[in-house]
Amino acid sequence: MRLLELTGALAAVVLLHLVVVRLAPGAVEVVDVFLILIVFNALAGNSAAGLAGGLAAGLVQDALSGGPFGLYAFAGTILGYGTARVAQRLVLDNAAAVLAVIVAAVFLQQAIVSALGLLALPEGVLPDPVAVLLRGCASGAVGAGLFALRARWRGRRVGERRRRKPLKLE
Amino acid sequence: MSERRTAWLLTLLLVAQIALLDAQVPEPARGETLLERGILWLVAPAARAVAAVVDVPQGVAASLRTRSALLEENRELRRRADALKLDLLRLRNAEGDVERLRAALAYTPPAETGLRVADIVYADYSSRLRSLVVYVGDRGARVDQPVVAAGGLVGRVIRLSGDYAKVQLLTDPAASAGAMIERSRRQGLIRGGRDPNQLDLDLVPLQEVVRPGDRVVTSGIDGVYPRGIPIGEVTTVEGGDELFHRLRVRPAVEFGVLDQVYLLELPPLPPDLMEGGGDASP
Repeated sequence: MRLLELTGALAAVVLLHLVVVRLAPGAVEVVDVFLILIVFNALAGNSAAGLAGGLAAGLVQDALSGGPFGLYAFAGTILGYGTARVAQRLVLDNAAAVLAVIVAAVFLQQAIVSALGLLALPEGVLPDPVAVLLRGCASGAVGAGLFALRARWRGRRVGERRRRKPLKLE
Repeated sequence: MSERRTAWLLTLLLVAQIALLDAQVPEPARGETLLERGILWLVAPAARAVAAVVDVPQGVAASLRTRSALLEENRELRRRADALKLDLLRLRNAEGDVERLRAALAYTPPAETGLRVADIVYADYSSRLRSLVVYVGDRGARVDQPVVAAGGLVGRVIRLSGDYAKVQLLTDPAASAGAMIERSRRQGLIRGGRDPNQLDLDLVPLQEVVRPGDRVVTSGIDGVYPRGIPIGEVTTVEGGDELFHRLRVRPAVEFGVLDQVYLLELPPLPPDLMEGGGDASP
């Protein structure tokens, strides 16, 4: 994802988050749209871009979550970098793989945030495991669905381009 | 960017974020976190060792400085104690003289005044009529009872209601009191004005030399306030009309910070003596 794309996607995610908070406040606890963005941004395999995207999305999430500023940014930075490193080694080009990555990312994010809360804050609280599981599954499903939609849309665009510009035969 | 550089950047960012998180824990609610405890466990012995090494010469220098300062202070205090002893001796002699003169003249001073503290429950310093409501309790108060503060004159009781008394401040435009310039004993009339931080001193003749900074006290001739209570200090001296100065006085009491006042306990003047005219025969 290029910088402009990332900025646009982040703005869209913020808008979506604000709308969802307004309409159904509980939904933001179930689906983590920022984390989906972090994973999508890192899937290209560029670790620097993954790190930057994770940091930016995490900071925005921190600003919107009302907790200590930097908690989600810390987790997002690690997740962005880690996902990019994984994407360099594994082929993550189908919805199932994306689902697995997002679920793992949610678990890791919750583990990082909880550990950081316990270590760095006077009163850290462990999250409810069922809620974490639900969050992972829901975020993974939404992420996988979006990935499938994006893949289909990209495939259609490529097909259209091919139809418009027929290959020149020598 | 190479993977090696990205890894360094990641490390740097994570350290910075931990520092950012740590800086956000509010001081009053700050408890000792596991991270702090761990870092302290690692750092504390080294810090103690450094402190011990650095503190030794500093402690020696500080104790030397303290000793010389204490010696100097001790000398100064001895000088002041000697001067105060002389003052005390002089005052005792003066007191004896006063007692002897009183006895020779058969002079009876006014009754001793007592003080009673009263809490302010409502204050109105800003409106046109400036007043206080004070809690006086079961002992009550009386109308025209003088009210003072540590700095000087506050005003007088103008109304009573149950355990409460309303006090008219001296700065009230309708308030006035007999006053005099302490240095020259020249009497005048002090009055409140439009400015809550200023008083006007009227009826001081033009031939009287008045200077900014002159202290103004009650003259004790108005039948309400006893003599000698500080009122304020002359701030400006203007020509006024043909006969009298126009004098501005800054009140001795800062009314805005009062939370308690004192009621002066002194017997009121007999009302028949306060009325104008009357029979001159005994």
